[in-house]
Amino acid sequence: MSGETNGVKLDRETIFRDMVQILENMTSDWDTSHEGEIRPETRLIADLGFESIDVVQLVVDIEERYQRRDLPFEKLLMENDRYVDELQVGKAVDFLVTHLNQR
Amino acid sequence: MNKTILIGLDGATFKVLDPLMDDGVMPFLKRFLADGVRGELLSTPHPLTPPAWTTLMTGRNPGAHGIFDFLRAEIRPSGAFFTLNNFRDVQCETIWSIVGRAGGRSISLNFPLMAPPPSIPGSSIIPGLLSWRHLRRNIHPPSLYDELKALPGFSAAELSWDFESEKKALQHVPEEELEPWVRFHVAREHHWFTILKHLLTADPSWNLAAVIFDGVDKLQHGCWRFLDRAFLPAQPSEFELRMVELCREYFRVLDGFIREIVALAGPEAQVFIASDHGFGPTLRLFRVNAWLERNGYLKWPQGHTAREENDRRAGTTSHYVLFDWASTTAYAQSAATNGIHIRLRREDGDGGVAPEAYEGFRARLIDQLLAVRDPVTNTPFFKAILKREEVFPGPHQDKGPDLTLVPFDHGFLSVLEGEPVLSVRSMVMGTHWPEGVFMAGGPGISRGQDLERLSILDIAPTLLHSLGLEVPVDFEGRVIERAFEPAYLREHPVRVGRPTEPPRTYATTAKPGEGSDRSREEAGDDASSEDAMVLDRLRVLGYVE
Repeated sequence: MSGETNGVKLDRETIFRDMVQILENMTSDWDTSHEGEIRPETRLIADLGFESIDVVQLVVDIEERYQRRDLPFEKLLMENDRYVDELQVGKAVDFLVTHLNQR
Repeated sequence: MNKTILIGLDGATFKVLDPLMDDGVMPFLKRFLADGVRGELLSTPHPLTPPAWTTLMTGRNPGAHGIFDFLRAEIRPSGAFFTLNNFRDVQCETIWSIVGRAGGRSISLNFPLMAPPPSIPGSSIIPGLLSWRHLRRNIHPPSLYDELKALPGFSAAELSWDFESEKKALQHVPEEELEPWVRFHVAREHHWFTILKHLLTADPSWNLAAVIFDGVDKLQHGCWRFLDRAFLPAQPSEFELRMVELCREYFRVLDGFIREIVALAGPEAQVFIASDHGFGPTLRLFRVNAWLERNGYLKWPQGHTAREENDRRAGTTSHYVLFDWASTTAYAQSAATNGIHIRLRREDGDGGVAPEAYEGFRARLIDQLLAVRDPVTNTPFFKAILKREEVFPGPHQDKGPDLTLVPFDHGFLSVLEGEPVLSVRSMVMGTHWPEGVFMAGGPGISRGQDLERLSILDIAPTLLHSLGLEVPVDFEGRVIERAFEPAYLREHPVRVGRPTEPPRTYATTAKPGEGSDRSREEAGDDASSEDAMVLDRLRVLGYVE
């Protein structure tokens, strides 16, 4: 587990690995049809079976993993006044690469 | 440390329990009260599950613990973001933590706001208000989940919350779904009882064991007309008679669980039963934002995008609506809180209320609200309009609404557009009333006393006293001393001790100006007014009618 950033810059590969671990831990006992590895192009709703309330929990899990509560998730989850209808893992990783390393 | 049990009955009221005890549906509870004490327990100023149970767990009012609603809006320089409150938002220490610091063991089952669970040594925590999909990762200790899975008949899905189903309960459960819906709650209570039974017996070294049975609240929301004889027709239909019997069956089963829990607790344990709020009928529907629009305080969005989004979300029973922030000075953020927020001006030209005009603005708004009259009785519709600083003292009062509205029937308000502003419901619904229940029994507990109105703030100090612990000096309530026999109190006098510890904190990196509207104002907001305007439009949350 990567845990806190402690001022050390986190690279994309590490963050992607963390995300995969978080998502696998979240969905391991869900009855979803997704098979195979989680990849950057994997979609949370269409592929992993997320519902809107699960996104809230994902945010909590990410905040707990990095011990941060200042990440501007609205930039990831909202577009043009609306919550996004779908989210790819790679986009979440891009967001974290940008904002975890901005302090 | 002593042994103390707390049985939480979400939304319980003597209006329902007394007839059930008189009719022989709850024989154990009747005997329990004959040997113990009872009293009406006054809830938080707005009787709602998250703030009320958090007050019970912390001994502090919402202005101190910071929980006013299921949801919260985080306003940041880059925008607004809505999410669910969770344990990290509780700003006061809980009784589970206090017991843990004193070297005791707690069992905490189905309490809201307990996820992600704190790692309190010796405690067993299974939070409520949680989807089954996230149960496994939110149990303390983590190994407890495997124990649960090994219990006969364990079902995470039946134990946990289904958010769509819960929202339905607040609105209207179709008649054809009512029977399976009540049975679902009977099954769910059975799961919580089974878990409590396992934890009480697997390791008997526990000190404080607590469980919430929340089906009481759910049934009363959807089935009030079957529980309150005043609303049952003189000639009930076959369906209505079946529903009456099914509701009674729920309470019969609950009575059995209470009997077994008291038996399992053993002869040395004191047992307390409490609700977070009471219940009663609601007959009206007040569309608060529609009223604010009519009186010039609020504008709905002009652009079709936001309006379509409102329609879309109303159709899917989602949790928030949009409105035209730039032209709005007062708005209801959430129907769950029955509150109105006043938008303070941040800079010239943004249309909010100038800080120096706040008091006058608020006074005029209160006067106008108090002038609203019920269309049937022509009497004032609101019993009271509560000012924030008067009912929510504490460092987190700014997270609450500026005004809390108390309708005469305590009904939840609608935050959506619609006509008429104030209407008569086609069917009676159950809703939260302030007067909940308190009951106690066991060694050292008085017999047959009917106590005067008590406060939900009193439960935490009373539980700690029952355990033999000091009451933290910063608790806001008092030990319910009359619940204890005089001789017991002489031997076990109330002791006031050190204040509570700050809640668990980790490197929250919220910068000045983030986290709340007010702090943002104090720090000076450097976001572009356009961004702020767009994002602030998203600040309206609430249940649909």
